[in-house]
Amino acid sequence: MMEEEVPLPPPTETVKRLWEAFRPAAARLTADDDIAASFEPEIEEE
Amino acid sequence: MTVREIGARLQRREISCVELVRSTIQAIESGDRSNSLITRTFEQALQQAAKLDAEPRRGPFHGIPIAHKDLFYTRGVRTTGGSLIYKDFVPEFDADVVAKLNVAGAISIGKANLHELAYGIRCNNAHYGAVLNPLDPERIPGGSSGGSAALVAAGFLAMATGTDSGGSIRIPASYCGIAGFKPTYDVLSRRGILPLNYSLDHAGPMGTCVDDCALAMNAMSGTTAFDLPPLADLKTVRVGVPDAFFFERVHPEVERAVKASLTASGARIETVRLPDFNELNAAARVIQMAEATALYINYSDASLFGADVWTNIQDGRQIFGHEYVNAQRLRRVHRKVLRQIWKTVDVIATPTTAITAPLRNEVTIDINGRDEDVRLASTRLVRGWNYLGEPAISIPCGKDSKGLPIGLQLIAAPYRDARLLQIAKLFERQA
Repeated sequence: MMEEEVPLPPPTETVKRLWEAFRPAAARLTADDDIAASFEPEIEEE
Repeated sequence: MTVREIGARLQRREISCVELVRSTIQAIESGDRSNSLITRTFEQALQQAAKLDAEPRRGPFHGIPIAHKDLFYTRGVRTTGGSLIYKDFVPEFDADVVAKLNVAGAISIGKANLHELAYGIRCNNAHYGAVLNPLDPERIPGGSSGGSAALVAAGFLAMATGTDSGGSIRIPASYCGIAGFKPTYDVLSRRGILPLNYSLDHAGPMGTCVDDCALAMNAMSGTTAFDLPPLADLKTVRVGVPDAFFFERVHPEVERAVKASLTASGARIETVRLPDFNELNAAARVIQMAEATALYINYSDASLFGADVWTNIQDGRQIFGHEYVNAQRLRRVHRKVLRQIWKTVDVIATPTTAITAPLRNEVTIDINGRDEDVRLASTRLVRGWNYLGEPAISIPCGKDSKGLPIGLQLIAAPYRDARLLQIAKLFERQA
């Protein structure tokens, strides 16, 4: 378990690419978009 | 041999459970070149077989030797997760699906090797040794359920359990040429499975064929819901083929084999427009990194982890809380689109992986003259379905010019698991 804090590393190329792909999508969310009541996929049984 | 074929021999008493387990043990001891097992439970397996020989037949899995990915709790048998953190962890109870398979009469011969903590696709486990692809030991088996896939592909077992948080059942199924099924999210219990990502983790079966997976789903769920009567043909089945993403940056031999399989199926092929899977995969990865890092943030000793897993955990610290929440919100947005698509098609068909099994030392791979990261080429067509929760299966649909298997991925609407398996059986037959 944590004995000393590991310094936060600078973002890797993987993280930078992830932000590039994810942030525009997240920016399009509006207040009208449902906020999930739970963090599970909420799949409706048909 | 398949579960049904082995079961028929047991039922006709051509072989006893003890003889079957003994021959399986001998085959593994003399023939496993893949380092497929972390822990062997051969003595317990023989005892269990003797007990089952004295009992009335319980069903299709009565006396069938299997293995559990070493992520599943097994009472009294250590469960390492492929990690040093859990190297001495001996659970006091069985995972729910392990318990159900025990009740069905399956006999576990051991705990299958995996990518450390199920967090990767190479199975180059730094602590318990790399898993090698039984079809070509210079190549990776895929992962994280690589040991399970290797045991089935080598012919030692008809079925093994796996887990899938971003393709970890379907990728090794594709690279090893077997069937691997990820059911709808939450259809199989996750109780007693070491987590990687709370909202992406799925348990599922890996088998020699789709029928093995269907029978295993019955056993793992304690129902008979997953083995529907066979379809005569696929003429009335509507197969959606995505108009973008899923056939881009895919090796030409993989693309040809998958498209040939669709043409030969006789199904009604329809083009479908899916949400942007670049965005969707990124959102899935945000969730994966945040949830995995949450589990292991309190460990500060990097020597407890393989270098790649440690890097992944540290990368997850870069995910902000609002990004995680928005990745979950986006999930609902994308699900709405999928709900409409499922009104128009029965299954969606794609390649499972953009490439066939890469060499162990390959980090990038050439696809149409462009370098592609092996991890992305392995995960980009499968990860999104964990995020959405749809059931998805990988089955072999041909071989490339090196003789390596090519995986076809079929996906269905949530809770259409049995129907998906029924359709997949016909695709498998014509392949």
